[in-house]
Amino acid sequence: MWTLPNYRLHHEGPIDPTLLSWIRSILDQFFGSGLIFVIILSLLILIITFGIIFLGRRAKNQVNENHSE
Amino acid sequence: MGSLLRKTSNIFYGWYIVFGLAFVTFLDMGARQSFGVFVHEWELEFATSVSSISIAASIGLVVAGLAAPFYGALIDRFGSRVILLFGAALTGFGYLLLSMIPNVFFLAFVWGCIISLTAGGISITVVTVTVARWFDKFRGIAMSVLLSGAALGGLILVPFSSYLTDIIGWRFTVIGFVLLYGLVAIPVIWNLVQNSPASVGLVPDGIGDKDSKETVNRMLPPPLEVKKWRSALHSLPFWQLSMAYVVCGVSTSIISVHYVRWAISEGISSTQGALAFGLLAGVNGSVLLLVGWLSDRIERRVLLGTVYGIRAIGFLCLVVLPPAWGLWTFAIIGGGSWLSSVPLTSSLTADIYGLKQVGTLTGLTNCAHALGGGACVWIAGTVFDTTGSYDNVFLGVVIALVVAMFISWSVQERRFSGRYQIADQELTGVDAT
Repeated sequence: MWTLPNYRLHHEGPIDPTLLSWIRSILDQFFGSGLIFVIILSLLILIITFGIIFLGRRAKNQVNENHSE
Repeated sequence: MGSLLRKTSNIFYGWYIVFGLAFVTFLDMGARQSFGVFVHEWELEFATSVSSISIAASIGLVVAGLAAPFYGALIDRFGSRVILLFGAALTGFGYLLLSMIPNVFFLAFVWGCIISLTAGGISITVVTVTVARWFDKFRGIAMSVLLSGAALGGLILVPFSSYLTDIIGWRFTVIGFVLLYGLVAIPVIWNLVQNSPASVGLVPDGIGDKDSKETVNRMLPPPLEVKKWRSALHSLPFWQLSMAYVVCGVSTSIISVHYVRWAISEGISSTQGALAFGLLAGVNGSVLLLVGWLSDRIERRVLLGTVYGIRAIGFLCLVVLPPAWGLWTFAIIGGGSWLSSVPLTSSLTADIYGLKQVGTLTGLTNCAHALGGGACVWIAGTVFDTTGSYDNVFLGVVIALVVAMFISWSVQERRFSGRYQIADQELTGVDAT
């Protein structure tokens, strides 16, 4: 198979495996296995989603009301 | 509570779109950058090499770059709402396929072709064009807030994917992405995104009455506004912005891929190199917002040229300073100029060519950015292999960035940009009505 030089082309963007392992080593001190981190972030994503949609819909309804007037 | 309600209702609706899309971009970038997390898992499960897996990433970069102008054209034709919805739905479907791949060939096909192609529907091109239509006076800061979502996505969601992979394995982690697209991205886009302020009876920035003289003046088309995107190819600003943006792609891509490797080649530990890169990413977010705020107050071409100039100094530091000093100096200087060129270039494109074909034109500049960057990453690696040093590569980037700086400064923004056109007309008493 065609091979590419191994210039860390295996990742995209600014997070490379070394940086990731460094971030992990810090987070591990606080979150151990990471289960708590996963649960907290999942809950945050849900809360932000509901918050953005709730506030956005309310603003959109208001805009629509003003527009129809 | 009553005061809260009143306060909320005073916020321009475009800002809800900005925060909603910043959140979607945060999720999308996090999912895409989690590719690196899965490499080791794929290596073991498919009994393949990192180089083979790299092919999937490389195909993906090329496909995403080539797709950008087509998505831009689709937004110009159908509006961004429907493109964003289809993009999120199809990308979610792509991740569902990814969770089922049996070997590295399917990885190359599903990641490189399907996900990279469909993710173009919620790419930086599409979200920046969406926001460009909602803002005029505050376009710079709105773009910066939007892109800060992209900057945070990698830093927060990649460790999240890493933990999740440890707990439930890579296939279920990828299914988690499917849920993020299906239960978060699509509902947010569905509920919030509208194609333009006019579609809901508003004006860009939410300032003034749509029939007022001030608003009509502000909405006057710029002198170079194009009805067909090809017309822009015959004008100088398009080439000035694109050429400078290619250099932007070259410099950021080379650092993304080679920074830690450069640090190791200079005798710095990989952990320290990665830590410096983390600092770079952190500085990036805060300076991005500052640049966005400034760009609504001074000429964007001046800021854009300055950003390239500062980045050139950062690269020069890597060559002339002792490695340890160069590492940290670049982290701060480079971080300050990292993503800042994106909102400035996108805003200038909209300012100069108007909003009718801004999708296609932004897509073209982003395509140039991606392809230029991808090619030079490979060249930089080859030069390092041949000479054993990155000095020649970095000096070449310094020269290219200085050229990009002068090219950016030479854009005749006051002559061609819509916002200065209007100010000049107001000064000379031209009645736009």
